[in-house]
Parts: sequence; C-alpha cells; structure tokens
Amino acid sequence: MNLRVYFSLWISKLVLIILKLLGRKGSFFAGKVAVFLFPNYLAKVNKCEHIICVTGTNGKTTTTNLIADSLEKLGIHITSNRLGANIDSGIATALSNNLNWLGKIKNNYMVLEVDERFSRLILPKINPEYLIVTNLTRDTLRRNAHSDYIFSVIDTYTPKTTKLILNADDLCSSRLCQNNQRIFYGIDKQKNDVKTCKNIINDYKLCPLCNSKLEYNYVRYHHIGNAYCPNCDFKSYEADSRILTIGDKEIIVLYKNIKYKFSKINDAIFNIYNELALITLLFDMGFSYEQVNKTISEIKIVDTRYNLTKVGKTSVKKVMAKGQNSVACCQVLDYIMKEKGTKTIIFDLDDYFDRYHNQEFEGWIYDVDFEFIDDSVKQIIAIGARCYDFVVRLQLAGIKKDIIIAETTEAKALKKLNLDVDSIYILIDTTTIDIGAKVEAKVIEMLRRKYED
Amino acid sequence: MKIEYLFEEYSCLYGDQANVTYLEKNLPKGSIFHTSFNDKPKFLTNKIDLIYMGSLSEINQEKIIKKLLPFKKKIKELISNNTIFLFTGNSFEIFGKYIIKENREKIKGLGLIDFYSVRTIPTRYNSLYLGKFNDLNIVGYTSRFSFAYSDNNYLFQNTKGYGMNLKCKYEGIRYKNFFGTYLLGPILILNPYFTKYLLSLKGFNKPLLYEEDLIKAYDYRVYELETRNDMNH
Repeated sequence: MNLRVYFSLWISKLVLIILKLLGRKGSFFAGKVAVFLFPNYLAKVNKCEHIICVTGTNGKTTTTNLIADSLEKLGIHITSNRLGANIDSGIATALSNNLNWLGKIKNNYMVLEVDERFSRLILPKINPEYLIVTNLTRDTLRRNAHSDYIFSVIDTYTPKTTKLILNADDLCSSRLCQNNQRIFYGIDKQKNDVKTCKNIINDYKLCPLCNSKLEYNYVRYHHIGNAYCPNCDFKSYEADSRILTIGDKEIIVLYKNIKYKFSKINDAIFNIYNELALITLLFDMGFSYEQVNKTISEIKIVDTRYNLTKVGKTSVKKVMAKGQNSVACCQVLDYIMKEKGTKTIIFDLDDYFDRYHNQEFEGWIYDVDFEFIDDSVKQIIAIGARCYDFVVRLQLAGIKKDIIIAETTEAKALKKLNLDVDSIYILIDTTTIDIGAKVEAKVIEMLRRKYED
Repeated sequence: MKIEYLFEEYSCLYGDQANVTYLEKNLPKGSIFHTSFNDKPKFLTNKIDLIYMGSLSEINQEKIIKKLLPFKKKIKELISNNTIFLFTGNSFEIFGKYIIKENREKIKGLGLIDFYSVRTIPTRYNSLYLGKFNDLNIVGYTSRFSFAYSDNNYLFQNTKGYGMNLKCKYEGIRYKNFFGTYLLGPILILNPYFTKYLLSLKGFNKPLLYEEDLIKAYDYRVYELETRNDMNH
C-alpha cells in the first residue's frame, strides 16, 4: 500500500475511535472519510484472501449474519459489516477494521453485505471470491428504480473471477453473469406452490428473451418458481443444491446426489431460502455435513429482523417488513396469513426520515397483496403520515373500514389496540428499528397489565 | 365507458396498475380491456374511451416503441378524435420525437407529439410534486432516469418539485386529451378531483368509490406539500 492509502487508513481508524468514544457506531462515516481522502481506497487497501459478499433485494442482512455467525462457530475469525453499512463507505470501514495500524491483515475472511445499487463501486475494487445474490425483485423506487436496472448493474460490474451463488428459483437474478462460475440453489415443488401467480406483482410473465408468455411449472410467489418459455430455450436453471422437503422442524437438502437433513432455522419461506444459500456456500467452501449441521442447529435469524415474545396466551411478533418494498411486505403478510389464530397487525412502515419531513412515495402499497388478508385478522393499525393512504388501500383490498385504525403517531394508535387476539404482529421498516422496539415494549407492557388483571 | 390497459406485463412498475384497478371498481363490469404485449391493441378494432399505460423499464420502452410503430397512424387518429390517453411515469416518452440514451444513441419515438427525452442513467431524479391543473392542486411523486424537453403542450404548472426537466416550470404533456406525466403510481387515487375531471370528459359524473377517504388523504397530502420545502429525495 502506498503512503496515501496508509494515511486514509489511519485517519479512518482514528475517526472510528473518536466516534466510538462518543457512543456512535461509525460504521459508515469512518469509511466515508477514507474514500474522501483517497477515492480509490477500496481498490488499493490491503484485502484478505477470502471475501464473501452478499447482495440482492431482500435477505442480504439476514444471510450475511447467518454466514458470519456460522463461520465464527466453525472457528474462523472474520470481519464483517453485519450491522448493515453496505454502501462503499461501509465497505471501506470494514476493510479498515480488518487491518491493524501497520496495514497488516487481521482476519483472512471477510463477510460483507453489499448494497446492490452500490455494487458497481464496490465489487470491481474488492474482487470477492464469492458473491451470493439472494434475489432481485422490486424495491424502493427512488434508489433502485426497477429490477432490470439493478440486474444490469450487478451483471456489468461483477468481476469475471467471482464465483456466484444464485437462486435458481428467481427468474431475474439467476440469469446474472453467465460467463462466471455459478452454483444454483433452489427449493423443489412444495405442496403450497401453485400453477399461476396470485400476487399483484409478477415481473416475469413474459420471456426475457423473446417476449412470449412464460409457462410456470409452479410459482411460489411473484416471479419465484420454475418456468419455461414454450417458444425458445429459456427456462429456469437446475439447482445444484436443492431442498426436497420442508418439514415442521427440518429440511432435506440434496447436494451432489446425497440427501442431508438440517434443522429449519425459521418457518418463513424467504428465510428458508436464506438458510439454503448458507448451506450451499458452506458445502462449496469444503465444510463437512457434520460441521454444517452442527452450525445450523446453533444459529438464529438476527433479532432486528424477527423477534417473538409470548405474554400469557398472546404472542407478540415484531417483523422487519420494510416500507416502500412491496415484495418484502408481501412475504411477511403471506407468512402472517399462514399462521394460526386471530391477529392484530400493526403497520409501522413509514420511512423514519420521510416521516420526519412528513412525506414519501406510497404507490408501493398498491403492489402489496393486502387482498390476502382474511378474517383471522381482527384489527389493522396503520401508523404514520401515510395512514390515510392505508385506509383507502385496505378498503380497496376488500377490508372493512371498521377494523382499520389510522393514526399519525404510535402513541395515539396504541390506545386503540385490540389485545384480545392470539397474536399481535408489529411490522417495521429498516429505518424504524428503534421505534419498532418501543412499540413492541409498549405492547408487551399492555399485555402484561391485561393478564395481571 | 371503455378503458384499455396496454401491456400491463411491462407497464406496472410502481403501483401504476392501481389506476386501472380503481377505475374498474368505479365502472360497470366489462369496461376494462387488459391487452397483453403479445396481442394487438383493442383500440385498433374497438371504440375505446381511455387508453392507459404506466411506468416502464428503459429496455421495455424500446420494445414498446417497436410494437406500436405499425399502429402510429391509428394512434394519431385517436388522439385527434379526443380519445383519452393517460400515460404515466416515463411511458409518455415513447410518443415524443426521440429518446437520447445514456450512451448518447438516439432512438426514434412514435413522433406523435413535439418533444424529446434524454436519459440520465445512472443518476436518478426523485421528487415529491405539487402542481396545478386549472384550479386543482395536483399531488404526486416522480422518480426517473430521464427528462423531457418541449416548447409547449404542458399539462401541469409546477408549484413545487421537478417538472419536465430541471429548468422547466411545467410538468407533463397535454395535447387534446393526451395526458402524459412523469408522476407515477396511483395518481388517479391520489388526485380524486383530477380523476373526476378526466372521467367527466367521457360523460362519467358519479361519485367515486371511497371518495370521502380519498379526499381526506388528498387534503392531508396537499397540506403537507404546501408546508414542506425539501421536495427532492
């Protein structure tokens, strides 16, 4: 490394120390300083031999944390940006953290979550060994535009030497980097899969090669499934690592013609995909079944994404649903609707920064399948500046107005909360994790008082 | 009243299909035609009152120009005869003279209205929007990789937020009953008074479904936008 890189490294480390002393995390700012001082910092700073990157629309943080936790349990020391600072400055901070003051590498493995839009600034410079792409679907329009655009960014900027681990069931991301080494994972047809997509969103109704109508062997949700074009050669890739069956507590995986049984980390189908991505990576890295199986049985989904608390007979489930991300929200709703019992759902999905300024684009709620909400849901609470839009949207989805509560603040909304249900779901955004935690705490307190009475 | 939703497989990126879903709930059964990209447009052989298309990815814009070019003469006739065309997001760009791509290549549009567009990939422009249509407040959001340039035929007058381009005081294109706007998503639900105006052009004057709730959300949004200064995201 030249002197300029060292200088940037030292300043960024110093900034990080100062921020930590001030009680701030600094996972973004320290790296921003490094990149400001030397724009080519990511390319020129010392990097370890094994860099594993995770990108995609949904599941990045979960999968990154699963991989980081697993490798640590397997005795490998890693550096990660698992708090989620995933743009170029966050990656710069992580790279700085993996070096001592003399520029010597601390850990030989890094696990990095990479924002898909910023992948063009990151991937060519850090040249990862592996790139796991969880999926590519619709996302926040103002940052990510649409999946065609993000596809073109990742496809163009992933180095040719990077090995990709791709979701065979995702008709978009599975087509990435066709000249790279690629491994596919997927889930075989399951009993809940259907022939025709029932979701509002399906961005792959037509063949991406010849525009003919695609035929689906089965659809899981949106464009996730197995399809082929009757008019040309386009079809879903075959998975190298496949889940054959999903049980109550276990999954059966077929890898290189051998069946393996693993604990199921989480019931939600999107988390089962994340678990399979992890298994595929660990097998490809050369870990044995015994090692992978033991690790899987010991790890869990990071609790900012999902947290369950039981108070008396009532479950309180806080789930990351992501505002302005219709697919993520759909997946969470689908998961909720499959759960037994009566429910109250609290939508606390306003983007915190937009809420502060009192506005945001709300067209995404018209891509969410609220039509799937059934009569097990006894109350819906919409919180935030967009609550009146929710009232319109929910009624258009066939939900009766008398079960809808719309309030601009959490305090007003929770006064009207229906506690007489089996489960209360609190859906939060990535920017309202702290607010969501407070709502969760308040709901738990209200339930405790109810049960004491 | 008959409505045709053109090429929904490609033109529903940002909740745009909600415009047609909402119209469908307001009109009698059988009023909406959903035309697949692989089919011929219904307007070629049926009397259609309103033709709708929503936001497109840039690749699909080019596919759709090629698809509609053979029907240019018919489309010109329909515009002249005051058929309503509502093209939201970047879909209206296909009606211009040309689109300049990010690599500076010029792709010909349908050439039916006098304007052109320029792409700005990778820079994306996002803005809340408050404007005026006659005396009506218009609210919405724009998010795109392009700007359009025209000397006339504007649709909305800007109060706040991006217009056709960074310097333009207007947003959208209006030519006879052709309405093209960069505002995207469910703009008919966000703007109930504009929706009522649009439908009244073809003789529909009934109250809208959930009109009271639409107006409550609209009024709240107008109030927020009027008091907000930072419109750009």
